[in-house]
Amino acid sequence: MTSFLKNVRESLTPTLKQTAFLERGVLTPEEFVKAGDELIFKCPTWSWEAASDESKSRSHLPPNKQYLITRNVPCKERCSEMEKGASSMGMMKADADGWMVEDDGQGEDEDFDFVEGETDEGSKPAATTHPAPTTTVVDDDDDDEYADIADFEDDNLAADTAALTVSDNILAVRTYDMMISYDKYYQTPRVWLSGYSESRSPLTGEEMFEDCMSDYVKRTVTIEKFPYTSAVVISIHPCQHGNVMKNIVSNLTQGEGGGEIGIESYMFVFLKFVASMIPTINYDFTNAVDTGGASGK
Amino acid sequence: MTLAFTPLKSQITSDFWLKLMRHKLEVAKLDSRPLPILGYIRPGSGVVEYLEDSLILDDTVEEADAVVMRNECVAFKGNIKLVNTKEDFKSCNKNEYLKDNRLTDCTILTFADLKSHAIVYWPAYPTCPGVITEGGECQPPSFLEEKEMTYDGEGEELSEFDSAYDDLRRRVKGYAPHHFYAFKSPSGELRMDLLSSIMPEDLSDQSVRFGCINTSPQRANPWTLRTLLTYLQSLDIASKTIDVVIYSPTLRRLEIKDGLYVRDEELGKTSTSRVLKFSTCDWIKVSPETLEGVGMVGWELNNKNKPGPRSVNLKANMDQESLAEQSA
Repeated sequence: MTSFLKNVRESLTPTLKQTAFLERGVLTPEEFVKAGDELIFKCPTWSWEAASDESKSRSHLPPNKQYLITRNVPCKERCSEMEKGASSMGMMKADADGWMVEDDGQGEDEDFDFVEGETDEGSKPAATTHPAPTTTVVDDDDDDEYADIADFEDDNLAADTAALTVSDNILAVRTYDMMISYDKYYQTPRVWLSGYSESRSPLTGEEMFEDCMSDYVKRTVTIEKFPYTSAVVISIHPCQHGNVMKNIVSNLTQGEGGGEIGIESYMFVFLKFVASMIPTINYDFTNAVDTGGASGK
Repeated sequence: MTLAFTPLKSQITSDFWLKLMRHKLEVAKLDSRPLPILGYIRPGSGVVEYLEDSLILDDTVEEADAVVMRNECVAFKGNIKLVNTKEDFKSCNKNEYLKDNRLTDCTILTFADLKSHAIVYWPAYPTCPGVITEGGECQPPSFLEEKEMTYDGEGEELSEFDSAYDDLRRRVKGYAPHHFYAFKSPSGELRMDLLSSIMPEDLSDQSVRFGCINTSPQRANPWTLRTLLTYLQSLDIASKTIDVVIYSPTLRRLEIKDGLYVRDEELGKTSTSRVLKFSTCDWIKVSPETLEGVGMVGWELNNKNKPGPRSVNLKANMDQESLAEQSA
């Protein structure tokens, strides 16, 4: 119902015709296409996509450029666990000399033993500050009688000695498909995420929330139906995107040595801003933003 | 040296399953005839993706046009069979099932429990376990040597190969074929064409070499090489040495409306390739009848590396109560 009302609201909103990028941080549909074209040109992992059927297509955008997508973006660790690690490391305490140091949560006699639980991860220094990446297969719902499907296995298959088995040294990670659509109501790009588990099964909304900063979960980041397909995904609400983009662009262009920033750079700035909400989804291989000034990066 | 091949892995989106379940409920009902599907794979990724438009339900859509939709990928053509009961799924003779599907790139055997929103599925990429020798046995192919293709002109001319493959894609409306053959034109230019276009007289041309797209993320041999070797046995190329190119191109979507596609030179340099030489001296020409007696292989192993299916529960995506709880 909410999605339906949002669609109605969007369809009733007039299309932005005049550029207001510098004044309000928003885009016209034409500017969205131009910024998307530049993103694809510089980052070929992104591509334009059409709606799954014509009824879902938005008339203010070209039929073959309805939204941007990049697929199979790796997400090695859970953001929620990273936050736990950061918060425990962020607490301060006074040391014997009166200096403030980070509280490792352990007694002073255990300065070098600040990993909870047992570890054999000597070769993985990252594990000393953050929990190890979750690589186990996520079990399905407990009530699901098909979650354990060992009785479906078939040992009578024809033998195949030439097929390599999966090597243990390949890290299985979650992956995400990331979509960027144009929100006609807020006149900004809008990010949508659809995740897959380590075993390549679709993630539920709750599981995908684990990869977002907790401050935003169920507030700015919500479960929505992606308007161009039938998929249920998570989305970052765009209500503040215009203001934030305006401020970032203003800081980039008005600082010391600042220059100008064009519509072509919008998507690169936008993706860097979005990364603050989903820091462990490793999509940002985009270039630095050049404002033409001395400190324009 | 015995060759080993990297199996393909499947990733199926929730859109695909939702579309299939809607079709089962509203149209197919107890009809369990296979439906056509397309799997998409990016060269070198090792993962075949099945998206919402992978399931072809509209008879009016030409298959070729559907392929063009995602021409930055290589498309695998196949089918999905949705059986009606759990028992049907279990009792299905998987070896016979692969034999019935030996001419497809991919197939998925599925059972959907519409009540609990659970789906049990088992993807397969059917292929012959080896080459059929004169003795009628199925053995590993006789691998002779391997060499790199480079851009510098000292080895193989990879830039020439890139141009020929781009040209082939343009001629087939953007579709990126996973198998092809390459030959020198009378003017000395490298050309490529689909394997289905090869003529018997082409096989006597010394410049002919065969190619497959590299689907493997590692340096190991891709599954497409295995299916190509099976296919080559249907041609009359016994007692020869054949070159097979394992080609890893950088594919970009073609806009067929423009009719023209100009390759970005910077991107062109990211292609890689290598050439494997095989001896076919003890191969025999095989036909579908010959393959009748050969057990096909290709079932994907499950998450525990066991010969079994995988399951997915779409309750969180389909059940209205779950959706409400999640979004509250």
